[in-house]
Amino acid sequence: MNEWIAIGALAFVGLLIPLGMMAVSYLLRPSVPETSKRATYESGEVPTGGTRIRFNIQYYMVALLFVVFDIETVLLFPWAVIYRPALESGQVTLLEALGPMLLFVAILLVGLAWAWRNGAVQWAKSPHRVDSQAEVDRP
Amino acid sequence: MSTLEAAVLQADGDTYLLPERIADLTGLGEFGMGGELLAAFIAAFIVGNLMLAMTGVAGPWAKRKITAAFTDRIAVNRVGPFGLLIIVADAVRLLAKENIIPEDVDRPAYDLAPIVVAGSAMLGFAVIPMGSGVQLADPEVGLVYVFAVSGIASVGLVMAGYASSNKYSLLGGLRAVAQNIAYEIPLVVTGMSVVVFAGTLQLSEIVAIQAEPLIELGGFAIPAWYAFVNPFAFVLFLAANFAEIGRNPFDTPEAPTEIVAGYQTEYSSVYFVLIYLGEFLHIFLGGAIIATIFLGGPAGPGPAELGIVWFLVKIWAVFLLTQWLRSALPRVRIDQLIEIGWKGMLVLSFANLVLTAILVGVIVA
Repeated sequence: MNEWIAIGALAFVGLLIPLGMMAVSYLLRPSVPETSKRATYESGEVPTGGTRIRFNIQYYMVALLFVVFDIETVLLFPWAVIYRPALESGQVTLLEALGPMLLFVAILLVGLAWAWRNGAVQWAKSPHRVDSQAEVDRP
Repeated sequence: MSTLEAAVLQADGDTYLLPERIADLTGLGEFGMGGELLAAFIAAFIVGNLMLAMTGVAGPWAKRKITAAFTDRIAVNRVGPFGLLIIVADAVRLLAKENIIPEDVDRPAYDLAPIVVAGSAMLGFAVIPMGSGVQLADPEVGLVYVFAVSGIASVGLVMAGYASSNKYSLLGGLRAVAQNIAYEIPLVVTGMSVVVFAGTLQLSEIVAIQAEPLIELGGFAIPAWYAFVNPFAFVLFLAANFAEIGRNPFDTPEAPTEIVAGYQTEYSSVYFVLIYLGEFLHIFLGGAIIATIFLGGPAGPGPAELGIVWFLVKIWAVFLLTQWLRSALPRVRIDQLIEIGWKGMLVLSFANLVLTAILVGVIVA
């Protein structure tokens, strides 16, 4: 039997259980619509302004760096799997098996060091906070 | 497949999986493709509901009891023995709540997010060897598969955060994805250091290798669990795992004192149940991964049939640890969290990988 059938079956069950719960809830729950009830929660105040605004999403950290390092892990996994069997077979020396991987990791760590120096791996501070920080730093 | 063939298969080291076992027991295997599909569905249904039952016990009951014990209270004790029937009462109560949908929500995404969060959490359990023959599938890429599907939940969290049209939700969703991304790489790279030891990604193989004794101490053999072989990796993996599932001290995405409830602020009724369920499933999935690759999976004293008991004990131990940390540790700030992830854990995890590789190379060569 193909194993991926069972995984697909679990995906199906994983979809079926939430949908089943939603169906049960649909039968049980009351529905008393009211306008003020549907306001978004803003600590009890009347919501001000929309939510779909321009917003700093910390682009380097959330998108760019992750892609680089995630691809790195994808490329390292095949190496990790064959590393020990290759050494045990005795056909490659330790340097041949380990060297290229060390070089590969080193190149990416240089990239990380660069991002670190440029402040890309830091949660961006709001201008207000930077100002107050500068005042603290001033002698 | 006859019982004899099954025994031969087992002796070969090839695992006898739950769908095949069900097909043999019920005779469904003789009905060709349809029978196999049905057997796979029954097996998946059993595993899915086992996990659902565990989150049912953990969410409304165990979490309250454990937190109460840490803070010197009694918690639920009125409904049924030890308050256990609160599980039923809470399930009915939450499902019977009115589902309030805020005005401005982005509709398909708002409704899909709870399904994505809950459904994706369940997918990871497909390849986990739970002992006593409870394992749905055993693909050669098992470990990578688990890491891949456990990442899907981030998409659900972003959907929930953005679609809710609430500022707290937006901040929570953004924090969740930044955190998951920052700690995913240390998690995977630390997992890779286990692969360097084991030389395989197949989870049943990784469990089998850990059964060998590491050292004998006065007639008592300590098994070669990777938590004993490489404790540094174990601690790193634990920390990265707690960040990945958003538990204390890394629960910034839903920090109640800062952003109300993060991405789940606007969810009520069954949608809230589904997101909550997904979070608990993720705690258990994290526990299952830790148990499988670091704690010998279903290994334990006694006959092999007890495997699933030991497996459940191990993942409940991880759950207990998350609740312990919840009571004991303060939350880190979001900028501290990100710096710990990118500047600390990432560097340490690569150091661990390189050292492990050198160590294995020196031992083998």
